[in-house]
Formats: sequence, C-alpha cells, structure tokens
Amino acid sequence: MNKQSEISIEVAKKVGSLRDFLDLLESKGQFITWPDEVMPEPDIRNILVAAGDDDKNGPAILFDKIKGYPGKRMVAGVHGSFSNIATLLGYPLGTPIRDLFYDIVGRWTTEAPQLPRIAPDKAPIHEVRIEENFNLFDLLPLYRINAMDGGFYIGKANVVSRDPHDPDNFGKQNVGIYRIQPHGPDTFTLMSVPVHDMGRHMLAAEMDDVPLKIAVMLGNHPAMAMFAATPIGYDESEYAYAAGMMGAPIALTESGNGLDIQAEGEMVIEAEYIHGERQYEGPFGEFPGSYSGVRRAPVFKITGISHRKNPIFENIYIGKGWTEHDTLIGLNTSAPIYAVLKKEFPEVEAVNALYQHGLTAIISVKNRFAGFAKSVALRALGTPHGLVYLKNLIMVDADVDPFDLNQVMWALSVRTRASDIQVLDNMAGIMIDPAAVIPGMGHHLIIDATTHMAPEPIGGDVEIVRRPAGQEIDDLSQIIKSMQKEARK
Amino acid sequence: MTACPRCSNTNATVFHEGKEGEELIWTLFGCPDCHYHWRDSEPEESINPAKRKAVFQMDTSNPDRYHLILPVRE
Repeated sequence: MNKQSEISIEVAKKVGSLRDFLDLLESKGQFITWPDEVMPEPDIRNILVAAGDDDKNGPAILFDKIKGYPGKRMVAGVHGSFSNIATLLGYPLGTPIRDLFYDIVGRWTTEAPQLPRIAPDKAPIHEVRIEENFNLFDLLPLYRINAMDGGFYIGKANVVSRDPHDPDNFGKQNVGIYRIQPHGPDTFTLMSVPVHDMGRHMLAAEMDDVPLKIAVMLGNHPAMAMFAATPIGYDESEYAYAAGMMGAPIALTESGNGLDIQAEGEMVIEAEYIHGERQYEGPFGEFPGSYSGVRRAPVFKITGISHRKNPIFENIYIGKGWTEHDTLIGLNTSAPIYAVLKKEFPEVEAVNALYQHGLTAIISVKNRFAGFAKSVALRALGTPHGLVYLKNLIMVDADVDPFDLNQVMWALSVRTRASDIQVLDNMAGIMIDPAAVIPGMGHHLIIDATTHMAPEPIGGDVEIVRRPAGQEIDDLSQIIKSMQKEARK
Repeated sequence: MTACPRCSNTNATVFHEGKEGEELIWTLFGCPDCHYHWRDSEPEESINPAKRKAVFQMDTSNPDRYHLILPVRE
C-alpha cells in the first residue's frame, strides 16, 4: 500500500508530464535555460558534465539556442540531482538521500494505479503527425554525448514493446530504457540483450517470424523515466509502478502502431524490428565510466512519428560518474533489492545500490548471529538485479547508515577481519564491466563489516563509544550553524 | 563521397546540414559501412583520423570480430 504523504499527493497531481515537472523545478530554482548559443559538440556535454558534478543540487538545463538547430529545444539533467528527485516526491530541496530511499520503498506498489485513457485524437502527443520523409538527424537536436561515441545517441527514451506470445497482456508489455543509435534517416539500432525484457520480445518475434512493433517515447513523465530503468518482474507493468509511486494519474493513449504510450509525452517514434538484420553499434560511454566496444545490434525502421507542438527532446549525460544516470536509477535500483530482502529478512534496514547501477552496494542489517549478514548478502545476490550487477557488496550493522559513506568507512575500518571477506569467482557479471577478464563473467565480493558475534571469537576487550545523538544534538547543530552564519557576516 | 574518420572507407554521404538562415553551420555525415556519424564542426579527437585513438578505429572487412548482442535465428 502506498504510504505517501498528503503533500506528495498534491505535488504529484500537478505533474502529469515532463513540461509540468519542468515548471515545478523552475519554481524551486532547479531548472534553467542556457542563455547563450551552443555548438552541439563539445558545448552541450561540457555544460552537462559541469551540472552533473553537483549530485545534490544540479539543475535541469534547457538548450534552445543550439547552432544549426534553430527552433529546436533539448533538455537534460531533469533527474540530475537528488534535489530534483526530492521535488518529484514532494520533499524540500536537500532532503537526505536516506529519507528519499525510505519514501520510495514506502510507495513500492502497483495497487490501483491511476492510468486513465485518452483517445488518440485528443492526446497532446499526437498534435503533429509525420508519416513519411523521416529524418532523425533533422527532427532531433542530436549531439555526441561522449567524444568517442560511435554516433549521436538517444540515451533516455522509454521504449515500449509487447510480448509476441501474449500481446494483450498489459503487464508483459515492457517499457525500458535502451540506448538508441540513429543509423539512417529512418533507421536505428537499439541495445537490448537476451536478459532484457525487450531482448526476449525480439528473440520471440524472430523465432515465430511475427512482426515486432515498438514505440520509442521521448520527453516522458519523470516517474516513467525512473521506472523504465527499474529492475522489476517480467509480467509487472512499469506504468503501474510509476502511477503507483506517484499516487496520481499518468494518462495513456495509443500509438499509431497500437502500443500503450504516454498521452502527454513530447514525442513518439514508431518503428518495426527488421528481422535478422544486425548493424555495427557503438562504442558508447556507458555507466561504468568506460566505452562499450563496437558490437552488432538489432535494427529498427521508423513507420510513423507523433509529437507535441514545439517538442522538447529530453536526453541525458552518461559516462564516468557522477552523472544523471546515477541519480536517475540509483534509488530505483536500491528499492527492489530491499523489497525482496525485507520479505525474507525483516532484519534488513536499508540498501544503498547507488554506485554504477549497484556494481558496489551497501546493505545494513540487524545481525542475528555470527555469519547471518553473509547469508543475507547471498540472498541479495539471488535477486533479479543482484545476479549480475551486485559485484561488490558491503554488509554493515543497523547502527550504520549505508547512505553515509563516512559511517560505512568506519565500519570497514573497525569491523572487518580477513575472514569477513568472501570472493565468489567466475560468476555471471555484466558485459560492460571494464574490469572483467571475460565480458559477462566476474566475481561477487562480500565484505561482512558487521559486528563479530558469538560463537566466533569477539576479540579484544573493547566497547564501542556511545555517540550522543537525538534531538539535543540536532538542536545544538542548528545553534552552531546559526552562530557560524553570524560569524561570516 | 567522403572518407570516414573511423573506417577510412570512402562511401560516406551527407545526412543533414545545420543552418542558421542561409548560413551553413555544419554538415553531418554518415558512413554506410561502419555506421559512424559525425559533424564537420566537432573537435578533432572525434573526427580527425590522425588524432583519433587507434583503439576506436574500425576494420569493416572482418565483421566477425564484432560480437552479436542478440543471436540471429538460423
């Protein structure tokens, strides 16, 4: 059941689209329009890297003076900081990440999602319809995200596809973020592998020799952008989760090729999978901070395009962190791991999988007996995301906040022995880990930084200092800050 | 036809021209062989073969060295 506050419901009701969210961000000083002319390269990536360095408060930035693209608009950094995520969830700027985590896990539901339908002829996304003479390089203000990328990537699209074996199943209709490289005026490659839901759809369509139609949604509801990248079950709907989390409506309509799309999105590119066709794709500067190599990827051909008048092309900066990608998916990577663990181990307190999509994660747990935290860690490795992504896992006690790295480093410093380190080698891993000896294989490293408990030897005669905490300390902190403010005048 | 900065084949063509009024700002090219796309206004590290790192160059005569990310049905 969604446990969100009244304030957050009021905020959510105001946000039906990307445009609404930009208005809300602007009211908080979290959205700016770049005042000067920019060249597509290298100006846009340089500005976005600078904005992304401030993971706490970096703003969304709109570019509407891109040289060579008169009249076109591009926005990035919409999910570029935790203050922007806090704004979406109805919290003040600067809300601690831990509080946002607990808010999201409290809203983790698909119960009674509000997904009203709008007829296609009434839906804003279909305001302008294009059915011939497609040219992606003219339509979108594209730019090279990282200098050695193989093309001008679309990095934040929500791609919709149906299960060819069960096309009427709303839950199995997938919405995912897959990187897209425009190849020709009306063709593009899409990076989805067999373990992805969309990869399954492509393989099934090819196997049965049936068409696979897709809808590439650009400029999406900010909650959809988060959930399209969230690891959820195959038959669970990203739309239902996003509307469930917001506790407010996300309007849907139908694309020209029969898929469920957001009615108030900025643009939809409708396309069909070309069976058996593979073309060179990449490299692309990916979230581990390294370029994925060139590979041969599936190809799609555009069949129709709809967009709002004066559309905003929403894109992302991704590469060596910290980037918008880390903020966009960090909490939504942490929450489903927590949701699975909490059912079986109520002792689990929090999961911080913010780092490189969970390649390093920290889990806090109330230790029940010696070795218990290691068992919880092994269960985490069995979650859908943990299977390949949770490479380095640090287990800490419940008195350590996994979102406070000073506390985590303390636990590592004083609560680990050699015997607390377990390495499972030659396991499944992600293809694009630059440390992998064999792409797709790797290790799971567990560091148990929880307190030693009987029957294992406790060790020296030590007691942990009880650090004063609570309201009195919080009040004193405020007094000290006020005194400092005065002293700086 | 233009030479591709990545694979050196000479089959690249113009995909789009970026203009401000009548002024040509940049020309966007695409290579039909290695599918590299570039703009002639980009920094040299991206578009000058002499400045590009060798690891990013491509040899399209040997497609099998580039993995398939999704198997093709036989």
